[in-house]
Amino acid sequence: MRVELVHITKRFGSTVAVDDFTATLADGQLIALLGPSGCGKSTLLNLLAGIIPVTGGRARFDEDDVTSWPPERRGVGLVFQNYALYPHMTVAQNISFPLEIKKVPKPERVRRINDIASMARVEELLDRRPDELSGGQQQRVAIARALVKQPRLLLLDEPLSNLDARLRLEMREEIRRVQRETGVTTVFVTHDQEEAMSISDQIVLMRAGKLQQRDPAQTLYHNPVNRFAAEFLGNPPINQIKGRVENGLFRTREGGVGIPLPINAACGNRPAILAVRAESFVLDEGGFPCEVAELFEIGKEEMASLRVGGAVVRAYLPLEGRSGKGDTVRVRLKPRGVFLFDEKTGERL
Amino acid sequence: MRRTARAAIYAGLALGALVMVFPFYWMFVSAFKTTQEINRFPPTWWPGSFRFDNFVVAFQKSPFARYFVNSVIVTASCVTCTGFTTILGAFAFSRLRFPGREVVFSLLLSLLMIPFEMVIITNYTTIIQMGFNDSLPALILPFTSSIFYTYILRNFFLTVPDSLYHSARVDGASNWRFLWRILVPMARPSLVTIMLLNALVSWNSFMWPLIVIKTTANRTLPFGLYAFTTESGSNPELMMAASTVVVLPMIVLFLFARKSIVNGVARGGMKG
Repeated sequence: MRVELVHITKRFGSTVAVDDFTATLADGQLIALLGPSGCGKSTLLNLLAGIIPVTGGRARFDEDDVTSWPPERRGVGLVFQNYALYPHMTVAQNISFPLEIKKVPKPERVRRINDIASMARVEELLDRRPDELSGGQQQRVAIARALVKQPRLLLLDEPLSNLDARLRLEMREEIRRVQRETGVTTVFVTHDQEEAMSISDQIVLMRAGKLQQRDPAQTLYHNPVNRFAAEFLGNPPINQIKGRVENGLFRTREGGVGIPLPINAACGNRPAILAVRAESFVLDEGGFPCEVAELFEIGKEEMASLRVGGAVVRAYLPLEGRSGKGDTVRVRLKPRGVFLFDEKTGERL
Repeated sequence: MRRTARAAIYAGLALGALVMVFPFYWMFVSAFKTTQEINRFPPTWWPGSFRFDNFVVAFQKSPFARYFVNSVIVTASCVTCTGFTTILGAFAFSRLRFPGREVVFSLLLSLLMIPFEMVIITNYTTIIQMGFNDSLPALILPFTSSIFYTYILRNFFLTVPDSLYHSARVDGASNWRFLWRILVPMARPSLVTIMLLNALVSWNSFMWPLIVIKTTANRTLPFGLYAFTTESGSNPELMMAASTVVVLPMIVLFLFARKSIVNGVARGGMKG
C-alpha cells in the first residue's frame, strides 16, 4: 500500500513535534524513519497508526483519506519497543486477539495463527506466556500478532532497541525476511543509522520534526542534502573542517592550509565547512601536508588521526610501518565522499 | 550472634501470632463445651467432649440461618456492585481524557476524610425517602461504590504501559473490550485484594444495620449476634457457637483468595 503524507503537522501545546511533513512512501517497501531522539519520528509513527490525531495536513493510504480514521479502521499492525504483549494471555491467545475482535470464525483463526506462527518461527512457543519468553522471542510474537490480521501497513517503533547486540543483528535480518515474504509496506523507526542503512529500501531522515531527506541508504550516504544528513550517517562520523573556498582551494580557518578540492566549488568566498569521509583520503606525494597525530588499528582497518591546520581528521590510510606519530604525510581527497556545506545554514554548496 | 537475633525475632513473631490467634481458639473450643464446663474454674484448654448441640440450640433460639442468608446476599451484592463501579471509575480516572478529570478526582479523594458516622443521618433520611427503610436494599445501596478502592485500582491501572492500550486499540478493541479483556485480568491481584477487603467490611458491618433494620428477619449476622447476647440468656457456649458461624466464612474466603493474590503477583512479564 502506498502511503501519502501531505503537510502533516503535529503540535503538542507550543512544541511542534512534526512540522509540515510531506512524503510518499512507496508500496511494498521497508522504510526506515531515522533521526536523533526527539526528532518526531515516533510521533509520526503514532500519527500513521491513528493513535494521536494530526494538527494539520492529510494522510492517504492508497486512495483512502485516513486522516480522521480511528486506529481500528486503518488496518495497521503495530509493534512497540516494549512489544506490549498481553501478559495474562498465552502466545496463541495474544496472536488470536486481533482476529477474535474481527470475529474471524474459529477454524480460520486457528489456521491463520498457525500460518503466521510458522512464518515468525514461534510455533513451539504458542502455549507459553510472555514472561517465559526471551526478548527476541517476544519480539517475534509481537510481529506475528501485528501481521496476523493482514494489515495494509506494518509499523515498528524502535523494535530492536531492547535487544542485546547479537540478537539485534539477527532480528533485523528477520524483520527484513518477514517483510520480503509478506510484501507488506513497513515503516520502522530507529535512531541507529547502521540499522537503517542495513535493512531499509528507503530512509526518511528527520530532524526537529522536519523531513531532511528521503532516499535509499546509499544515496543518502553518498549524496547528503545538508550537513546534518552527512553528519548523521556514517561511522566514523564524517570529518569537518572550517574554512573558505579560494580559487579552487579550500583554505582552513586555523593554520591556513590550502586543500585542493576534487569537486566543483563554485560557491564564492563565504564561510564553509569541508566534510570528508574517512575513506576519502589517499596518500599522494603531490597532495597537501598533514601531521600524523595518532595511528590505530581496528580489526583489519588502519586508521590515522591527521592534523590539518588546526583541525584533526580521521582517515583510513595504510601508514603502518611507513610513517609514525609526528611525521608529515601528503594526502589528497577523492571526489567521492567530499562535500561542502554553508557554515551558517548547513546547506550543501 | 546472627542466629540468636533471628531466634529472638521468630520468638517475638510467634508470641504475636499466639496473642492474635488465642481469642479465636478460645471462641472455637468454647463453642463445643457444655454449660458446666464453660463455667468451671480453672478453665479447661480442650473440651472434655465435643458438643455439637450448641450450634443446633443457638440456631433454634435465634434465626441464624436467616441472618446468614441475609449477610451473604448483602455482602455479595455490595462486593459485586462496588467491584463493578470501582473498575469503571478507575478506568475513567486513569485512561479516559475528559475536562476536569483531575479536579473531580481530587474532590472525591477529599471526601475520604469524612468519616462514615458523619453521613449516617443523611444516609438514613435518604433511605427513608426512597422507601427502603428496614429492608435489605437499605443495607446494600449506600455501599455500591468506594472512592478508596477506586483510588487503589486507578493507581494500578496507571502502571499499565500506554503501549498495551494503543496496541489493543490498533488491534481493533474498543475501550470497553480493552478494559474487560486486558486490564481487568491483569489487575486480578489488586482486584481480589480490594474485593476481599470489601467483603470483610461488608460482612462485619454493624452500626448501619443496627440503625436501619427493625425486623428480626432482616438482620444480618453481626446485628443478630448482638441481639443474641440478650436472647441467649447466660449461655456463653451458645454465644461462642454463633460467633464461630459468623467468623468462619471470612476465614475460608481469605484462605482461598490468598492463593490468587500470590499467583497474580508472581506473574509479570513486560519489558521496558
